[in-house]
Amino acid sequence: MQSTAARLGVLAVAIVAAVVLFVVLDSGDDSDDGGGTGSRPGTTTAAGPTVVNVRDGEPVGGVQTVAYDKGDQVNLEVRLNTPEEKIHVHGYEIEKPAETSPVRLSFPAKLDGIFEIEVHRTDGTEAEIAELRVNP
Amino acid sequence: MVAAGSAAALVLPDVASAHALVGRKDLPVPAWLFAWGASLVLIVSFALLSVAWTKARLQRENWKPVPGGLSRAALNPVTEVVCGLIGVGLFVVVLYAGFRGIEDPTQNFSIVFVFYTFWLGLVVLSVLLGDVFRAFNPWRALGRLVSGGFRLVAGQSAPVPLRYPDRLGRWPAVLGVLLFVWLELIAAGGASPTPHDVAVGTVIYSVITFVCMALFGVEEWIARGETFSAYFGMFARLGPFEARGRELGVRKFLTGPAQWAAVPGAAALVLVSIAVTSFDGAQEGALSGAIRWTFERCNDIGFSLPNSFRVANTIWLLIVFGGVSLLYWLGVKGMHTVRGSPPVRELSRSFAHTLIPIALAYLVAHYFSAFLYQEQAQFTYILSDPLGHGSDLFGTAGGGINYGIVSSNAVWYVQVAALVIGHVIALTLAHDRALGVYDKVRNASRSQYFMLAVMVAFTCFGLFLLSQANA
Repeated sequence: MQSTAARLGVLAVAIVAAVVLFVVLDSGDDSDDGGGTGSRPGTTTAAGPTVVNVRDGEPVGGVQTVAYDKGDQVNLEVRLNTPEEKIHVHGYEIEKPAETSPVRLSFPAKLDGIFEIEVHRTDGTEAEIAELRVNP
Repeated sequence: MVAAGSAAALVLPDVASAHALVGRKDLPVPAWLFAWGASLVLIVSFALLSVAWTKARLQRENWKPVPGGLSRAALNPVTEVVCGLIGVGLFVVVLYAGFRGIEDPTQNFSIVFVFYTFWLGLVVLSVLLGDVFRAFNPWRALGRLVSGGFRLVAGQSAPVPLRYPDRLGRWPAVLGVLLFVWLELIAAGGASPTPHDVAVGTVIYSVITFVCMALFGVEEWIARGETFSAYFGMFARLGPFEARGRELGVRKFLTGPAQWAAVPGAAALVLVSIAVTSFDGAQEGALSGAIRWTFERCNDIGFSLPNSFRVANTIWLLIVFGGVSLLYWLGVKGMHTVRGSPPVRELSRSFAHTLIPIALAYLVAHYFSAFLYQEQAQFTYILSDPLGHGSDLFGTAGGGINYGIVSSNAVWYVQVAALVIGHVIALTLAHDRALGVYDKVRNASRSQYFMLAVMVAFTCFGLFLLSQANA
């Protein structure tokens, strides 16, 4: 940078560009549901419980993602073919005994973030059965 | 983050199963915020260039002692002994809880303390208060106790058999950081390290440290080769406080990093810090697919599930370290093309300190929320029930973690702000150092286009990792 005027010019342009960028980008995506990942197959924000099948202590079809928006009512039904100790939702710290099937989980999504839902097996081990995503 | 779930729960192709210590994971930074953050980084960088000063301002510390009373209060033999006792006490609790406490990592003092309060908390304390770890370092305290005892009994100082080779520089600490994070993320083969693992690791590290202190001298090893002293000491340079002898002093803002010794391994230490944080973030995000693919190939070859996890993740940890180092090396090579450059190796060491703010920004971005949650645990049920056996030493055992303490939006803003601020400070340090290295301002400015590119790359990489986190 050679002259003071040139320096100030660049600085001014930079500040204006920053402000414009912020306004443009922010107003465009205020309703964004949280990222380039978007929704995954197997998610629901509609009424009707999402079913998670657990077979011999493992999730059928792998760990599925269930997505909600903050303030929604989370509605899950865990179906097990063998009795286990409990179902545990991390973060919300919700635990329900899993001796009988199905285990119904219904609670308001007050916390946003990503929370693991686990089955605690009768042998003391744990396995993740679903991933709860609550978008802000 | 520290993983959990038994090895048997690893379902191909799931690489890492439940994370016991992470009750609430951060949502990935949304696309618009990532784009805005990256754009801001670029704009801010060019703005800085336009106001770039022409005389080095941050190369001298102008260290001034604080008022005598404060200095004496902070640095007297009594506080030294008390701090040493606290450090050794915590060290003993980690060992005891590790060997005798509950195996559940979420309920055991050793896991929460070592991987959160110690590893992350001390970085924060070091930046704010200076090299406080020096006072609390249990290995140093025990080493000094032994050498003091020797002096008392033998009437002379214990002989120091070996001289610390200058060429070794900070490389032992680089290895130490890699192994620590390996223990945290990979050793248990897909599960969380157990308290027992942590206790064993602590014993092994202690044995190595004591042997090295015996060979090179207690203070010499602490000053040059001990992992945690080097690691926390690196971040302590960012802060305003520094103790010299028996005096506590304050230095001019941001002059600390320039005085960080440019020894062999200095660049590697700050790069490994960036790399291990990146790897932790990428393990569940940007690299999860690649790691899973490697994991499956290992399993195909015949490795067991836990070993496949170990091999695959170790490979990718080293690849990330290599990639981060390559990026810096390219920047240094680029700088070297400018007239008046010192040799590449010297140049690389001269600018290593400029990445310290970026390493700190990476730590804040990746661990800020988890740190807030786990410190609640640390001071409630972990404090009162360190072994997980049902005690209530301080009456806080009933408390728990309030995960709602910070919203996702707040976390995102902190993450992006940390990376942008780290970037700005890094650029400032690099520009100032260039003015010291190059005779002509024109050459200094030219060299900084390369460092700018490196830092923009690091910062945008950091943002990218966040946008892919837990994706």
